[in-house]
Amino acid sequence: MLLHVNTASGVPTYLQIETQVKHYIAAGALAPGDALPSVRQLASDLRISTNTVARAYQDLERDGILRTVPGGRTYVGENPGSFLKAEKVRRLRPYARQIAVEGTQLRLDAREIMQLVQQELDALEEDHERYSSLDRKTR
Amino acid sequence: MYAWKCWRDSRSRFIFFLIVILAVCVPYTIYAARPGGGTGIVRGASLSGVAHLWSWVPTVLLQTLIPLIALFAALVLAPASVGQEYREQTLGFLFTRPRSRRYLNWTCWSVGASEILGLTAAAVVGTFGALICVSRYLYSWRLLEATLPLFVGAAAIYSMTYCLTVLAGSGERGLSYGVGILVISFFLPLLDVTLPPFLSHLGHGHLFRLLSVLGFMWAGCESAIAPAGEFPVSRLVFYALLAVAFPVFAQLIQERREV
Amino acid sequence: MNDTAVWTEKLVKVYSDVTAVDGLDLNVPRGVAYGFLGRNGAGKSSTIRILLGLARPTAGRGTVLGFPIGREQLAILERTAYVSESKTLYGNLTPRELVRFTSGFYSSWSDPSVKKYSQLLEIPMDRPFSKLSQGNKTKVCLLLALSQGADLLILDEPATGLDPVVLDEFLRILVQDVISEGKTVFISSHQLSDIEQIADWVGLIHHGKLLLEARLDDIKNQFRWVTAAGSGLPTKSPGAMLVASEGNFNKYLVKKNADAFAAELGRQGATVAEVSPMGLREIFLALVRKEDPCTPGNVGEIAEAVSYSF
Repeated sequence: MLLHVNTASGVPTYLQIETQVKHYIAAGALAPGDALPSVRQLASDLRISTNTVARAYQDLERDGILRTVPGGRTYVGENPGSFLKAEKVRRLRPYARQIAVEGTQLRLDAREIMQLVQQELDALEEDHERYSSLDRKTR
Repeated sequence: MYAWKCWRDSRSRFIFFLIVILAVCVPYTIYAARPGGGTGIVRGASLSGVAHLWSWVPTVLLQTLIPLIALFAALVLAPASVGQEYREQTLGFLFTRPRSRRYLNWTCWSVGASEILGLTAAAVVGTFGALICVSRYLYSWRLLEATLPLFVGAAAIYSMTYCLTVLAGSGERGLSYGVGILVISFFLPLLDVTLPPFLSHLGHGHLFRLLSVLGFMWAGCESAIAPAGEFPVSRLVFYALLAVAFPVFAQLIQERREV
Repeated sequence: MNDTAVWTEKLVKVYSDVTAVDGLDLNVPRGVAYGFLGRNGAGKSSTIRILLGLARPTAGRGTVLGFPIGREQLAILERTAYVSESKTLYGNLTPRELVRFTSGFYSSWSDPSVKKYSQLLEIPMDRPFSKLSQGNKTKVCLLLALSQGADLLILDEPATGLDPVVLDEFLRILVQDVISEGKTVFISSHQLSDIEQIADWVGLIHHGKLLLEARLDDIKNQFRWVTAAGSGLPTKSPGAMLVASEGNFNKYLVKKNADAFAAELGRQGATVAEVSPMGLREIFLALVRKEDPCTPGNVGEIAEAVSYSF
């Protein structure tokens, strides 16, 4: 798994890692049961503090997206995001608010904003298809 | 490890003086013992001749020349390693090693003091050995006692200059102050100031005789050379105390110094 | 106090004409990379000198690795590796001899580390130190610090003279062999990009006091620029400060709850153009300039540097 972080960005590094991992899972590049690099290995590769990577992994684990076995290795969880529906909605709401605010600020109307969201969902679906077919070919 | 480093810093100066001392003592002894020489000393020819040799050579070397060389060496060796630390500004490195400044101070001082001991012992033993060789006779073990006053006198000047270097924070300045004080002390015996009665036995009544380190070294060697010579015990104690007190003062300065 | 790597309480250092450290309360947790930032003359080096026992504090107290400064300084020095800003070592010794000299002081010294790091950092081990380039001198100092087996590394400008490849390798070594092992790294530097890369905590010192001390990620989560247009916009607000103003437009530095602030502005009838995150450099400059009224770009001055494009 190759990640990239930009430490000069205003976005905290641990968030960048979490976002990328979630993206890979959503796109199918990471499947349930796949192993992730150890905290130490990833930190070393990215030249960032171990604590930052550990925080990202801990957050993802708390959300059920990752799973750490007693031996120390971390894997993609079997049921990523096994939350109650209410909790899932609660988590997504800030992002929805952000889209609503940003879109309104940019003077886009509701239909255009919804269209944008749909396009992104479609693109993710495409990526997922592509990775799954790659997988089938290599097996 | 620090002792090794201090040795490395002063090594070349020590070896230089060692060569000078041996190059003075041994050839001169051989020269003085040449047959038909102007001094009338005949090698091993008679006991009185040997006695004369064993009196003449140490007088010229150990009482006169060697003290000058030893004092000069003391002045030059003192700023060698501690002055180097100040010049290169490596105290920030040295003082952040896990050793007390007291340990570092005394280690550095000890290396130089050992070198002074080595030089004075080499002078005396070299002369002693050369005399034995040329006269084929061991006339007097007492000659070796000359090491003590030579060492203590030179050590006192070494310690003083070492302390001045630490105080001034500079090898160059420490050396200049040391030279200055020593030169002044050369001329002091010419003044005739009497000591108060209760201190009179220290310098035979004269303050500045007490402070003349050359005078002390001369008197100390005298007792080793001339059988009836009286050893300047009180002056020996005085200079030995100075030799130890100055590095204590240097330690106190280093412990309080901010880098 | 004892679970911190470095702790100080109201630390003060006054030199004859200047107060270098003015009531400093540091709290460096163990096992982190802590970036100690500040302008020249802010008090960084004075603080470090006090921690290492090179200078005595005028007032206040502190501990390093749980040991009180001053009273148990030797215990601190046994466990702390230091790379000074000046990188001066004995000029007549080669790196190999310097290793030999330094290793004798520490029971935790690791000879295999010397071999490994001297190769990774490409150090010429047999040339006298005085004849080395600035970059090589820095590398030797780093080598000695890394091989010591210390629990705390205090690095003052560790990147001096290092080329990008060596610097990258050094950062990798720091992460892999120091931070991952639970040791603490305390880096004092101007190179904000290096600090931002590796630090998880930052402490910003200015005029001898701490302006900010927090996890870098938390700072980035909370600090925001808020740009708004409108009339009658506030010039002051708790947690937010106006940094620039041009016509109807105001730019605010908000330290927390930026969304709430933006919403409040919206309620007052303003158009909020942007709530944007800030990198470490921007945060540093904004906070430091706020404290120095004479610095250009501060509150009350029209900042030419701030431009708006529409």
